[in-house]
Amino acid sequence: MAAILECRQLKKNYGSFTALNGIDLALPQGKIVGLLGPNGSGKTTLIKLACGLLAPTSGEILINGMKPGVETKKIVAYLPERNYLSDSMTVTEMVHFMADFYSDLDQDKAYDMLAHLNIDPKKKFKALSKGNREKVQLILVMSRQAKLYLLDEPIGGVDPASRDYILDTIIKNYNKEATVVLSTHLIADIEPVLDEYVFIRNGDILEYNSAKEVHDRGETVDSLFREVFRC
Amino acid sequence: MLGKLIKHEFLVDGKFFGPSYLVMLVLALLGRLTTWLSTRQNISASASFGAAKVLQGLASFISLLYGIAFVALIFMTIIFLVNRFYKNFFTDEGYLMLTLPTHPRDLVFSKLLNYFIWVFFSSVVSIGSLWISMSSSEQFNRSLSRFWDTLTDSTGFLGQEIHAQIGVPGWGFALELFFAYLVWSVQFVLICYFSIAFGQLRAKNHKVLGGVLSFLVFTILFQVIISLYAKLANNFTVWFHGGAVVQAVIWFLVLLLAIIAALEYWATCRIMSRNVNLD
Repeated sequence: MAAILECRQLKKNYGSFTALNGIDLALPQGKIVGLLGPNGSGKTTLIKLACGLLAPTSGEILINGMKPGVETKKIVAYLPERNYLSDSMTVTEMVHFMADFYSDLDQDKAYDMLAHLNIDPKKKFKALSKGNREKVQLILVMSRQAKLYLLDEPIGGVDPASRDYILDTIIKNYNKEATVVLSTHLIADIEPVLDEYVFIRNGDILEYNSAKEVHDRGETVDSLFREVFRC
Repeated sequence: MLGKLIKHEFLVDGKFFGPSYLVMLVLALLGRLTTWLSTRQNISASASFGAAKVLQGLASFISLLYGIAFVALIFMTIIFLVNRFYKNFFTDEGYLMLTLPTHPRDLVFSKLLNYFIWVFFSSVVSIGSLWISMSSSEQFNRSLSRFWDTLTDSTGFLGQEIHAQIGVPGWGFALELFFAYLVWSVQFVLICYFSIAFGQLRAKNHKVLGGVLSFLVFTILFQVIISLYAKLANNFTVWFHGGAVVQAVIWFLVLLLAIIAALEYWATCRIMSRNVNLD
């Protein structure tokens, strides 16, 4: 089966700083992959390249065999680390906005998830608490039947109960034929759901393996991470 | 996708402009009402001195408020719409807008089109509210009538002179100048957009400052180009005479403005495709 995300000697420089150092990677379809590394390792840069927010300095990145552009954006669902929704719009307006541009967004599912969280869709985004804003953003992403979900630090900065909810939402609602890439450094929380992991540091891929293989050895991905990234 | 972008942009902008227009119209109506009340003979005659003064004071105050609102609407229209471009693409909202399944050229074009739509509406509301506010005044109507008579007389005279000098009807020449003004307006908006896009390239933590400085630099560069062209055109018209020469100068200016605008558009789209510095 063709890789959903493929990097070929992918390099990205910001001036004299090298964020990605000619990496090679091929993520298959239908897997939950942890993109794991400390701050500044290149996780967000890789995700932004996949979303088409940045262009490579050299090398190639392909989404479903295509360079990032209009066609790949149709099949990629991206959850950035930041609050990116417009403060002046209501939740309903945002759902309609997203549904207008993404034909794979299931509005009924989105409203069901909002109702489950007691979030009033008529409320303006700026009237929501920080936690609820993040949940609305997550709901909008997970309501899509995308082929690739790119979630950048989805559980960073939230309480443990919210983390469980977020992970639960991701697992229950993603398109099972799709690939979910979760970028985080809170490995212990996501380990139970991981199929594969990628260790990245200073723009280099250190390791790419299946989580099952680590578990079969009697180890955890979290303990392996601590060993590999020991200060 | 372009249609959807234009639609959504229009709806969002409408949330700002709708109430603003309403305020303008209400102030214009209130101004007209209070002016009418304060100038009515039987009211001012029968009312006490204090009441008449209050009415006149109120009329003046509302006129002042209206004047402020009138000027504010002109400036706020431009500032709001240019700021929308910055906010939508170069702040956190960029994570949403720049990952939509649409090309940056459509994103920029939708903003550009909405800019001119709302500038047009703001102009209509400004002129309409001015007429509502002032048209009850005899002095205003006399002034307007005199202005209109002077305008028609002088344009008639100008039209004849233009036709004699360059062989083009006055209305035709006016249309050419209006077209040149439109192209210049498009170029002006695009230089704002390009300045914002370029400014954030070099000043990730000071994007607004980067945009302002870039705008100053690019505007100076633009002025230099236009000044050089004006000098060249002036020499050209001195060396070669005739209406066709004047026409050529105008149309080459339009072409130059269009080329500059196209370059700004292309450069803005290219930056948005490859190098947006989102936090």
